Amino acid sequence: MKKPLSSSDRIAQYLFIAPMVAFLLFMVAYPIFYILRIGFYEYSLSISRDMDWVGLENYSYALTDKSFWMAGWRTLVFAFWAVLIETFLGVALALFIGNRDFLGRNVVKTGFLMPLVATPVAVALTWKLLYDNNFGIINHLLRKIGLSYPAVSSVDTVLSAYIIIDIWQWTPFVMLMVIAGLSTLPAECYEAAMIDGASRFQILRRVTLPLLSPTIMMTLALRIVDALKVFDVIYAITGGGPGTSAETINIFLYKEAFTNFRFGRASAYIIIFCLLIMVVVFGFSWLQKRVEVDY
Amino acid sequence: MKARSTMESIFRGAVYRIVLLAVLFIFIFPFIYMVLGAFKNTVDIVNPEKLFSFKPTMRNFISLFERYRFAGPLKNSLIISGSATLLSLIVGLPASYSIACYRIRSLQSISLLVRVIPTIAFLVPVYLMFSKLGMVGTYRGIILTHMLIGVPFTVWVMIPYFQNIPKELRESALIDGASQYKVFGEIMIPLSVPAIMTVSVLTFINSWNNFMFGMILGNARTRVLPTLIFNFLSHAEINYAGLMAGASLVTLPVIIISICLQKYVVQGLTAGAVKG
Repeated sequence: MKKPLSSSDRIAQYLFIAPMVAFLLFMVAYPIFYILRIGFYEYSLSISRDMDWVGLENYSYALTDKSFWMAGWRTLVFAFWAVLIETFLGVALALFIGNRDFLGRNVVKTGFLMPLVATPVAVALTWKLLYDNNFGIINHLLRKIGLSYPAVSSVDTVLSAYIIIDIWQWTPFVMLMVIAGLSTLPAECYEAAMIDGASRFQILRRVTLPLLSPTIMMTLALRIVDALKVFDVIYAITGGGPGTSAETINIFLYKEAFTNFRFGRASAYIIIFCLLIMVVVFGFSWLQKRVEVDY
Repeated sequence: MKARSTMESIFRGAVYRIVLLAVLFIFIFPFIYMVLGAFKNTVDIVNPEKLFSFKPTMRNFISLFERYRFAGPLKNSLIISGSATLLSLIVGLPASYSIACYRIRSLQSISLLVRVIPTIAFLVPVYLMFSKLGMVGTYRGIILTHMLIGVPFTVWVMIPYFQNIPKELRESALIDGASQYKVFGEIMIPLSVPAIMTVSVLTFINSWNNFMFGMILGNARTRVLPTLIFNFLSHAEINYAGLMAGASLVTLPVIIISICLQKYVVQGLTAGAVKG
């Protein structure tokens, strides 16, 4: 039996959540209400400061705006390859390092941590130099064997160059998540498998990976959502260029709002983008419930 | 027979090390490259032959402070990240505790939803709101936006942590006549120091690294470091050596934090890896 809350308890409970509620109202609820509203207006700082009601025009414009959907498609391609490869590499690395105890384990872990915590803009500038056609070390080495990789300076390779940076940045994240997951796996399952004479590969396939699947799903969900929102590195290196060849959806939206100052249309597009992200999130939490394993 | 298997295990150990170090090298090479570049002259940095062989100079760092006024944005970044971290805790900790005790599901879902909503969805309305309120270019404006990352993260880490603290602890203290505030301040907070460390470290790093909010909401007086080094690029010629010096200095604090407080950084990054 839960005892009913006394009135002083109730006051305490309200006081504890009051700052949070105030913050959410001012910084979340009101902005969301505001962006939903301006999505129905023509609100463009470059024309006039007035807001003109246009109903669903911004939304219907979005449906036929090819550059918006191209940006969306580009983002999907980017997120698909980046997340696929970093998941694969990250899981492999985690299994390779595992819970093995060796001298310098902490040094190794710190090394892998660096791409994750380093300031993305600083990382971006470093990669800009690494990739540079004339001064960069990558092309210098490639030239020696008669190859070249125009990276971010060519329309054909720019997306792959950004995928490579993303893999470098985020593979360690997958690795750390999976290592954290590994450390919680029950020892009994392994003992049972060993007694049954399972080979190492069988243990990996039939015991480790299935037990890790909730962790991997969680990691995938976080990575997909963040990859769809990619911005800093691309914006800092080429601003989505050359041309619009690396303009992901976040960069497209940012330019629509803060370069073209078309806030009304940008708002409608942003809402569509948010809805797409929500679909991904809910889709994943639905999937996650299906793969839940009991142990 | 026995000798052979020890030989084999030593060999395997060595191969394992070499592979590991090779992979590690790929991940830290850009940092080595960045720091080397920071100490190079303009003539050396444009010559990839001179990756390691060059005469180091401090010139880039000096001009960073003298010509590019690095000190101002450095101070701004420290003030903004420090305040955003502290305020996220002040807002997030009591709320997480209350949510954990009384299972306020709605509040929990809202704060987690904020985590997945893209920054741009806040940036546009918040920019328009702040313009009207005269908050563009102020510290408090930028701090509030950085709390949009800090507060949901605090809740994300702290709710499961508070839920795992045995209920009896709280109940017996209440029966002994302690007030709710005393239970929170004198029992729950001291018990949560490791989790609070995790939250603080990650919130600070996220705020320090944040690019988009500062770029739009900052002005010449409140410019933060990521915006400053990004602005280096818009100068006519790219001064790569200067850029590398700037990039190194911006990254240095977070690298130091993650070396000294590695355990907390890892815990923060992998929060949610395992349910419960």
